[in-house]
Amino acid sequence: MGSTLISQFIDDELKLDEKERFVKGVRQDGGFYDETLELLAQESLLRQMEGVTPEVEPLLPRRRRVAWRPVVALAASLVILLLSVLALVPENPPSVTHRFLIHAPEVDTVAVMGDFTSWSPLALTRVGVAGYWELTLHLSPGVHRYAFLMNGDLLAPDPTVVAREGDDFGGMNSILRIKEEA
Amino acid sequence: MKTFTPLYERYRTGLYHYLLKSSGNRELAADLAQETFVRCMGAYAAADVTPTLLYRIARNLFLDVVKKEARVRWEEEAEGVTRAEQESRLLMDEKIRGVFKALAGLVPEERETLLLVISGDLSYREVAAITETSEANVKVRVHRARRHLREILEKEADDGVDVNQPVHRR
Repeated sequence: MGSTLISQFIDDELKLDEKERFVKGVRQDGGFYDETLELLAQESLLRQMEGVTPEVEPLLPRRRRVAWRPVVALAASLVILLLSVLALVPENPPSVTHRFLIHAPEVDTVAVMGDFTSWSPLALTRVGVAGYWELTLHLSPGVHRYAFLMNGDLLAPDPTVVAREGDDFGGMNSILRIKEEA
Repeated sequence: MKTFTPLYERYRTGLYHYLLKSSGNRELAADLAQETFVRCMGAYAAADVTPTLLYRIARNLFLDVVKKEARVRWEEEAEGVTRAEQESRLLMDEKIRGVFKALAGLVPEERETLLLVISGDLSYREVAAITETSEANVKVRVHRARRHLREILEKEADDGVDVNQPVHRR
């Protein structure tokens, strides 16, 4: 009896001839029948796990509290002192230049609204007479969501960016991933 | 045009549980599931995203963490668990905790194959593509994993020994 049939049965992976062998096995072989029931019960337990959080030793180490020792205390003091000094130095977060460009010949104004503008409209500038609008911004590396605002009342995703997702108001936002410059 | 929202809704739970059972770490699982979707959105059109691709990305992210964490030495925990943790442990079903522990006792390739299969999102063929092995191998591995899991759980029930070791192969 092909023992993998039990797992194939559990996983809906049996072909027609294998289904026949499986059913015969269950009827004719007591051991096969018992193992099928045991593995089904185990499967049920595996699926119940989905509602709980493991509180056993994880397979990967989790960050743990640091033991309170004099050396640790001294190191922590030095780190705090260093951070205090660094806090006095103006911070310049890395940013990447990104040019927004859209072809919208029929509208009078175009603005971009996104997480990088705190969702306030920031106007694009018309380029030439062919209906192109552009705006260059410095964005932080990471994933940004945004949309274009046409004539002050129509929101539309960026037609040049494929990645999109729905917003909470029934519209669509474009998703832009800014990679750190090398 | 197809968007990522339906994909996210359809696969986020399965991906999260796959990563949770793989790592035993809820925060890490949530982070990696989120990162999986972010990477997909950054590199693929929604129409091109398949469950195989999603789980392959999730698996690679998880394996990256495993490699990275293996080089990290963690400080020993100086204090006991918090009150909230104690209460949570009391509420935890003992059997389910036992399964988490038993999963840790499987050899990695069997555990990985089993967890991908029981995600419910992937066929044997898709799991074979992700783990770069044959469909026949997946069939054998997943069944061996289930049997070994049963052996570990039975052993744990019989004598309560530490089951957090790879099961002995005959």
